[in-house]
Amino acid sequence: MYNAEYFLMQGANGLVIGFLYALMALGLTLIFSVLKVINFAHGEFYMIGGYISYFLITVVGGVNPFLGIIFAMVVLLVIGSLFEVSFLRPMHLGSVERPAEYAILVTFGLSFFLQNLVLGLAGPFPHRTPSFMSGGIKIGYMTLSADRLIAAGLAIFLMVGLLLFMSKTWIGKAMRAVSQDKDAASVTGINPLWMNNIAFAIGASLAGAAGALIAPIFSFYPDVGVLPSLRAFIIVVLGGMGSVKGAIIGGIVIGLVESMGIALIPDMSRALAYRELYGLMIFALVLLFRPRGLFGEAQ
Amino acid sequence: MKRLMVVLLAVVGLVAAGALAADEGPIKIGVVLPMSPPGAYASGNPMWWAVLQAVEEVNEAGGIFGREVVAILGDTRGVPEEARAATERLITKDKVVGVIGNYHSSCALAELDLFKEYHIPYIGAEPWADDVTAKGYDEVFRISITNSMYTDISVAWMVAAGFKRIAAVHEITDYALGLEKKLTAAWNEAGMDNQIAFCDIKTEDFTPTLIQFMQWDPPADMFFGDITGPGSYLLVKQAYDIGFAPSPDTVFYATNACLNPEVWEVAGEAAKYIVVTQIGLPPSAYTEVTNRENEKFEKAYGRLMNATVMEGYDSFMLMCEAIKFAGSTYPDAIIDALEVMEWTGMRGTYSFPYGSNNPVPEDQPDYMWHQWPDVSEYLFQYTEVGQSPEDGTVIWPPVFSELPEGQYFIPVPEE
Repeated sequence: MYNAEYFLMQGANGLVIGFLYALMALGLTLIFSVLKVINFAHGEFYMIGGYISYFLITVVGGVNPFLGIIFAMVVLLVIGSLFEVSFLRPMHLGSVERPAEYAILVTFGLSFFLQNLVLGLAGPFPHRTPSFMSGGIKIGYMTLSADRLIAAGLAIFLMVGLLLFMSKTWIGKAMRAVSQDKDAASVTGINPLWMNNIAFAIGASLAGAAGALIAPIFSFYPDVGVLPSLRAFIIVVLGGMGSVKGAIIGGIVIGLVESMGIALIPDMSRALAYRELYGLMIFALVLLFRPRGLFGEAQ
Repeated sequence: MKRLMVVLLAVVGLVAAGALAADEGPIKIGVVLPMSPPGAYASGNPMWWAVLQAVEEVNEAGGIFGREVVAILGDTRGVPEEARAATERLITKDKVVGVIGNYHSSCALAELDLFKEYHIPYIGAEPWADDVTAKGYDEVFRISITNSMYTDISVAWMVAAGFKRIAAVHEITDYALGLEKKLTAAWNEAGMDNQIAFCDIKTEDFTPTLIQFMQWDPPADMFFGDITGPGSYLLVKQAYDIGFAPSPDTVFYATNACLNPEVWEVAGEAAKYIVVTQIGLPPSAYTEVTNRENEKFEKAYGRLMNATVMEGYDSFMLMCEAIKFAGSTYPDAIIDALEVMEWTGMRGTYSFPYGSNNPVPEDQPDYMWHQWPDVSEYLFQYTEVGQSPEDGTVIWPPVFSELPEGQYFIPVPEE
């Protein structure tokens, strides 16, 4: 029989993973809320974040793993900004005939391009960046991986930082205005094109941060972003499309549900195999009773 | 009538000229491997590099019948439908005279009917599912181990080591599901309690299931991690991080994915003392070809070939040798050659004793049809962090073992 310690360990593991899921989803929801574009290359930004951190730490050498995260965020910020200007801006300028389909195709294309580019440049083998701190940290009678706890702590820091940025700064408020009504925002002197660019760059940067944070915990390889990106889509819809708060709560819910689902299913042979199903069941239930998601606003 | 004869003769002449022209071109051999996502491209790419090394050598030696040999790649991406399409393209568009390769059993199984339909010889490099050769197709040969052969050797060690309680994680693939059936049956027959979990091949976080395994009282004395992708290294790391295995209580038995040097980068010290299977000859029994080709490969790619990569080289060279032996690129001649010839490659001396001339005897399983029966499998334990498989301690089978029968290293508990 399982005891309380067992459930606490499973819950703590789910919570820690949930924060990392939330960070990944946050970038996706930010991009959607401002640009109204679903970024299908989000998983690849996450993958590139891991590689950038890895190359800085291992190839350049002697670099603190925390600096690797900052560097990954900066590089992804630039990549995101350039991609938005080059490929998504024409859509917002009205020079693309079917913008919705165009956005899907161009971000899908970027996803395949980046996967194969990295496969060609970095090779097919998986990598992992050095640990932030090896071993475990004892909390009560539980021992949790130090890397996971540090990554979760940094994810919380970044999420709080984003929330503050969105609510306290002029740019954050301007992005929220564009997400609510682009035309009204432009009347007040906000340039929606710039807000689109900043939102996409920050979204890509957050995905890169998630990749760099997870790089010491899991390994990364050219298609590592596929599953996290799929999970991020689920979280974004679960939390409410475009809702920052929803993405955070959704990430935590999915992390906990996956972990506790495995813990509670008595048939071990199926418990892990159905991991994604537990989150999808919650997702389906929320959509059934609250189609706009947990924190989504009615259109 | 005379005019008709002239036309017929002209047609025959044109066909003959075409055939002659085709015979004068390069000899094309198809290679089907997973080279890009979502397949096991970390295995497919080095196998392809090994094939390229073989191609270079064959051509440097003058080709076959003075003709250049070309390897044409079909990327299966590890997806059966794509594997089938790639194979059909190789056969019908590229006009290959034979096909080698495959890492995923599901891909090989999806292609088999094409080899039969087009009557094209195929040498399976790494598909383990018994059914690949059990179907008894004239065109299909295999040099890799089968799930059943692997089970027999591995379980023999587990019995000798005296394990009684086994926890296992299997990925959900054709190969692993087939292996799980064989292993679980063998464990049950040997009276070993077992707890089995399955997971998607892309799983990265095994911790919840490992925590579940740790609740088993008394603890498992062996943990079998049957994951072939990058998850295999994470499984090692996570099992160690939470104190499950390798530990004084529980041995970690890993699949041959942990032969790659990346196991140290990803799992670090967690991989010390894991038991790993190598489907090939132990270093003490390497052939001249093994040493020569490994050296060349290391120089070119900065890493040694593991047994899977050697299968890429060997299967391609074996196809070339069969064409030479047959003296022709006609399918029947190549198939006949493969049935009777012997050739020594990196993993031993290949032969296929059971085929059309010598049907599989009743006391032998069906998969022995066109199956290389002498596949060597040995088990070793890493005893140092960063060690290469060649330097690990061989623990099974007794003929190669460096330890007394059934013994293995147990990690010393930390103070």
